[in-house]
Amino acid sequence: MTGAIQTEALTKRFGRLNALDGLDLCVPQGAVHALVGPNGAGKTTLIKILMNIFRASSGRASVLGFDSTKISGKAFASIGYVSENQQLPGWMLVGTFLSYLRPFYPTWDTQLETKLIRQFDLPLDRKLKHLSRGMRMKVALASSLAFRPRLVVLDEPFSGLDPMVRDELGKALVERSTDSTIFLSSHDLAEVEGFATHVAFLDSGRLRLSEEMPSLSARFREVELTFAAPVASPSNLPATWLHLSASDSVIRFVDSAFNQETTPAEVARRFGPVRNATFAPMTLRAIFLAIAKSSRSSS
Amino acid sequence: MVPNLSQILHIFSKDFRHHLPEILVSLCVLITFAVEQPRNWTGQPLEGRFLNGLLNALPVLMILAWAFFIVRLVQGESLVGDRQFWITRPYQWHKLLAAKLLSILLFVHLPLFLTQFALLKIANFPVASSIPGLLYVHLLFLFAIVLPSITIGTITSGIGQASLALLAVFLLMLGIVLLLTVMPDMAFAPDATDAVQGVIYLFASVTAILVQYIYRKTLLSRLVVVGAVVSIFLVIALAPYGKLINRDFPLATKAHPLPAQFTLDRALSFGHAEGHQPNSYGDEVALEIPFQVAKLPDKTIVQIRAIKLDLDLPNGEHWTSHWRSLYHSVSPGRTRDWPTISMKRAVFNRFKNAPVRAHASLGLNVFRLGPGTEVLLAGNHLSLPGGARCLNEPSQSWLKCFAALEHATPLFVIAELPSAACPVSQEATTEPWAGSPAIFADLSGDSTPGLDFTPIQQFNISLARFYVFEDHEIRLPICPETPLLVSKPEFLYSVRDEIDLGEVTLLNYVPTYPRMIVPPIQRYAPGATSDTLSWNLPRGSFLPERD
Repeated sequence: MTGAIQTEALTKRFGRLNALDGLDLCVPQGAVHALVGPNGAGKTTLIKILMNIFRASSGRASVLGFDSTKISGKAFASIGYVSENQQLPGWMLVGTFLSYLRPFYPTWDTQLETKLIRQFDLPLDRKLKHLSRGMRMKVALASSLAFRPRLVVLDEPFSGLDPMVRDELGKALVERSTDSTIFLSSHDLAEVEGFATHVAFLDSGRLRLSEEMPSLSARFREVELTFAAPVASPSNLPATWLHLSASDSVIRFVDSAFNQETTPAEVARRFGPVRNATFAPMTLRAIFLAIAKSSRSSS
Repeated sequence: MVPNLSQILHIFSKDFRHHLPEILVSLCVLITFAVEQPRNWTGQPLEGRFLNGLLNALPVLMILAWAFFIVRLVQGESLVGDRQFWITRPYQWHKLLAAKLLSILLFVHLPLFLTQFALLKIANFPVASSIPGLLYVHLLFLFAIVLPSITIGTITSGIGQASLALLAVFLLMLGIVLLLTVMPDMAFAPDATDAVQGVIYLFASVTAILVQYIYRKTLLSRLVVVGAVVSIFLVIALAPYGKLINRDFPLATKAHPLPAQFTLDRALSFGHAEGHQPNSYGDEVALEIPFQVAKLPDKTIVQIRAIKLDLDLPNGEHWTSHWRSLYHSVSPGRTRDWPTISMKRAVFNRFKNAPVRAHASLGLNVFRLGPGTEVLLAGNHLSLPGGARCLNEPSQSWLKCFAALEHATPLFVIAELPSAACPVSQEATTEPWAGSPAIFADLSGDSTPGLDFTPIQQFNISLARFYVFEDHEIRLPICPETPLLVSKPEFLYSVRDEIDLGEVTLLNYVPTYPRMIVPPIQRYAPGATSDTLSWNLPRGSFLPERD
């Protein structure tokens, strides 16, 4: 099945800097796909290429089956795009802005619009330039959801917003995820963990991983082994065991390919009898810290 | 989805609401301009320098108001940057551009067109027949005001950047004027490269606008504009003006012979008495060279459009004046003309008394007089063939004329002046008249309308007659009931006359103040009445035939 978004060897260079480096990504239809990574990882660059705001240096990208370099005009009738630094027409009232956009979209749902206005508590009679940043984001999101787009692309939608607004935006996205594919970038891992079905990790322009959230959560474990006597740090460990450290009689590492049956057996095979072994599930944040540290130490 | 036309109208109506203040300001300035026009026709001065200055500045204010509106309109959906909300909405570039053009059409061109229409009606000029001319004026307006404003709007992101771009345009024009001063031939032929400049400008503007609307590649668009500016500068600076002028004014052929014989009148020179100051302008000295004119065919007028003087100096150096622009017309009856050439005082002072070998080149436009129509000054009013109407202003010794859209040029008017019925002041009659009649000749331009916001063009017809040496002339009053013979000269061809002047002494051709031409003439005795000068205009062969 063709993904809502697909990239092949996508590369973007700004002078000597490789902002994106041979990116292969597939965002399945119907997914809530979070693109995470540190600042400067290339998330915004990727989204701007997908939205045909930037042109890729090489490689290809398709969005809803369109070549991303051809996306313009009518194609945006199926795509809702919201960015943290998008410039809205400040002179317009919120109500005027929504009314102005309405005729552009054949699928505009006025009932949904009304619902979003209520849900976000939008002040229709205030000018956009007089709104707070969070409120402007809510207006942008409402105007990008009200036409029931097939794809919603959000670039750092939660950045700099207070927790209440984040919660409201998150809820709205979850509600919309039933009939839209949602692709959002964020460096706030805790925020996306709650509702993302898929996650991709971008670091220094490279895709470190992209997979479904349950699978990701299932295969990462923080392992702590306690021995009866002090142990030395062993060598020739599996590549999937990351950041192994030994301290006195305790060994800790992150297993990036945890299996409930094979991992304890492998531990026993390599270390012998263990007085106590814990295999703790990890937060998304902990997983990505482990991956980021691992990729930096290997590079 | 809004259908094709609806999207255009939808964006248009949003723009109308957003830019209503700018629209109203431009309309206010336009209305003020329109209301002010009738007073302008009558020439009634207003009290107060500020108000006068403000009203005189109305055309500039109109341009600024329109340019501001157009730039803001285009920047309403800014094409510069990557954060604008609209670029990821279902806008179609051609509809967006069409919406902007529709706003410009309805809020800039249409009000101006209706104003011009109303002014023509108020001034009692035919309206329907003026429409093609008005449309042509609007084409020029589009080219000169609207297109650059749209271009600036598309490649800048705010009014600050646009103002900087406007400043750059101003500096560019200043640079071109500066080029004019350092490239003398260009000063005569500034329009020689107009077509090339126009094509570069049009291509660059349209390309920049389309590149921005289709691809939003601001850097590329700006490079196109800067490239065009540089190209225009290079075209102006590097154009072979000498060759272009020689091409425009070729040497005489059988088909296009010299229209008259021009020779240096060696009998005349300027005297320099004790205490007389030579005419000079700053560090320049003006030479006036008397040319004898002979063999000018019947019904032919020659316009001396340019002159170039070349001197072989005694020290072996060569000096050239380069081509200098002139607009002297030599009509039937004339025997002399005095083209003026300036030269640096330092050069003049070194060689003013030494004999130098001189060569003159004249760029001549040859016209044939069309059939003449006799018109009579009825009271103070006169109607010219072609629809222009004139009002006699005896105090200024001219007819103040009005025409719809275009000046009535080229135009040639001749009259029996002065006459017993129409005398001149005593002051003007202390020197004998030349043999040529009182004429008005405006051979500049053609009948194509120019870029002017008012459709009512004003021009003056002043009949003037030369004194005996034909080095200066005086405007003569036109009295009621004076018959005027009006003719529309037809341009025939241009030709260049190369004249060897032989050895000359420069000082002989520098007039002093007061002027003293050698040999002196017998002046009329004080007290001679002007009607004694009455000159019955011979119905000679040189006159245009009456219809």
